[in-house]
Amino acid sequence: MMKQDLRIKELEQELAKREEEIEQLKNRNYALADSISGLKDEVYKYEELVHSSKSLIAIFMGEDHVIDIANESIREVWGKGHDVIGKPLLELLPELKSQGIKELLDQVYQTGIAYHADELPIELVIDGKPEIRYFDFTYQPQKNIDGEIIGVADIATDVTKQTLLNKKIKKNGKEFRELVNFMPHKITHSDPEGNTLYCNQSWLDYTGKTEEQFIEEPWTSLIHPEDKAETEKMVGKSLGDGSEIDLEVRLLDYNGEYKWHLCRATCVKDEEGNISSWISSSTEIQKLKEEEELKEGFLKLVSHELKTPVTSIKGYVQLLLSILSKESSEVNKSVSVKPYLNRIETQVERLIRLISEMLDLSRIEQNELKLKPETFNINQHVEEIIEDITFSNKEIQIKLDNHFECDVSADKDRIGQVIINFITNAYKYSPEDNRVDVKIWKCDDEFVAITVLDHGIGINQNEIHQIFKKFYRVPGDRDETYAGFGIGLFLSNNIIERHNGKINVKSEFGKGSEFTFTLPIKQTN
Amino acid sequence: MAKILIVDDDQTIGFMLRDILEFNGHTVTVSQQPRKTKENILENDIELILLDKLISGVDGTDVCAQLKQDEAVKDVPILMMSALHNVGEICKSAGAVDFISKPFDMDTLVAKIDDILEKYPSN
Repeated sequence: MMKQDLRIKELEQELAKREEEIEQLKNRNYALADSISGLKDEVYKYEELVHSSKSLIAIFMGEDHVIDIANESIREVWGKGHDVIGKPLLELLPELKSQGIKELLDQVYQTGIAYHADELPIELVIDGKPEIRYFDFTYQPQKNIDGEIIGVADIATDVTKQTLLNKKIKKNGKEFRELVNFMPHKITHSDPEGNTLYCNQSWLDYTGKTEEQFIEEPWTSLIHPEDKAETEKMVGKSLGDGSEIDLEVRLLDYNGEYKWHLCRATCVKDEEGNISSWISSSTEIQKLKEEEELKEGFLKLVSHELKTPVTSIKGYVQLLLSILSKESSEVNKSVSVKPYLNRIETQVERLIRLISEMLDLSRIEQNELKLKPETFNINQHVEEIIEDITFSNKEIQIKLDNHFECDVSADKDRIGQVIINFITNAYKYSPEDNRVDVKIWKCDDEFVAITVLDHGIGINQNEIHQIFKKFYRVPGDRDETYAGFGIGLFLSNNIIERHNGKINVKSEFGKGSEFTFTLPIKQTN
Repeated sequence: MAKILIVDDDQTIGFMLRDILEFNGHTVTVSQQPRKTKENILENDIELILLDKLISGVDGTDVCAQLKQDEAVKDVPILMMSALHNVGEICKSAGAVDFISKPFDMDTLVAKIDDILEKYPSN
């Protein structure tokens, strides 16, 4: 019995031990289940990461590069569905064979050294059509727990859009440079301080310098000594405040000759509004300048030369008129010569006015029109001019209204020219009504105004701003009716502006026009 | 009425001026040679000179200034004329008593001449 009891005790102990072991095993089992569940979670997370990634991810196993994993993104690029798993990559995409991809995969698989490429063009057959796509990608060797290479992971990004854009920008840049070099204009690109960074071929051709020489030497050394101070002043100002540069200067060419150029420069600003660089363009205007001078000289010569015969004709006409009035009793009264002579005189006066306008125009363009101011009574001056006009043109009916009297300080002849221009225009453009009203009135405390009003053809609203332009003529078939060069109002405007006055026009088409000019009052009478 | 010398390289103008002035009762000599002005003055007993500013190759103001420095002829008044109408001051500073721009009005010219003859009567 003792022996039996002992055995039972042993068995009980054994049982307790087993139970304890079972308990331990149970616990371990729980722990393992937990681990497995954790692992499953990890795998799920990993698969989620791979499959939801925008990057193109695939893993190729073995030396045949059999697809083990391929995420949706890479399948989309390949143009394939889920059934790619288990297929060798090069069977799935045979077009890769000729593009060196097999060799790259083999190399990584055999050496265990990762391979990386940027913007690699790969031709893929998508929907049956070959298409070039660009990829940044890495081939990463995959190893098992023992460190043996079992496959290759492909992690890639489709950069086709960016690559094509970059290529386009590069191409545009190249084309732009070629365009800039092709241009006859001289172009530079400079830093914010005005130091040249780039110059085009035209500059090199003109100066005979190499690009290095041109960039090293200060460009101001090319400027004519007489233009230098003004240019440096203007450029200095612009570099400071970013204002545009626009000037005419003489620049030295490779022959040592100076030629006129129109130079313009503008700054390029960054997002914060700071000057990041300057772009300049210089255009040769030497021929234009020469032609302009020739034209001006010719105009001056022509008007001067025309004056001689006109002076002579006018002198003789006046002499004949004078003889006629003195000896009227002795001249055959059946032939009335005087009206004919009067007409000749009127036409000669008109010719003289046209010649003077031409001369004045060339003077204005060469800044040679000098004013000789004197103090005079404007009312009296207007009255005298009206008398002169009515003396030589009996048909015109001028009515003068003096609402205000004063002295002005101005060039008497030039102001007279403006008044004559206004009155003769009023008459000229009123073929059916000879009345012209002239009114002198107080514009404000500082200005006197002279208004000339007619009842003529008027001016279209869209033409009013044009009539002060040089050589502007009323358009259409009316040209022949109204003679002139289209200079009169241009001159008048220039004269009044230089007297610090203003010209104002009111007009109604078909009813008449009202031209007013103002002058500063010197003294009220 | 006076003895007047016209110096102008343009014969047409010279003759026209002569005709006008003769009609107004003056005695006129026309010359196209500005360098011979002094001789002309002395030979013809000239009382007034009508001198063109721009005579071929010669500036009328130089001729005027020279005459004004010459004791023998300096008192003869000079009326200068030009097709440019803004040179009056230059002419006057060269010694001309007055200036008239071409093309001029006959009455203005005659009035100017009468005015000068009145102000500068010859002895």
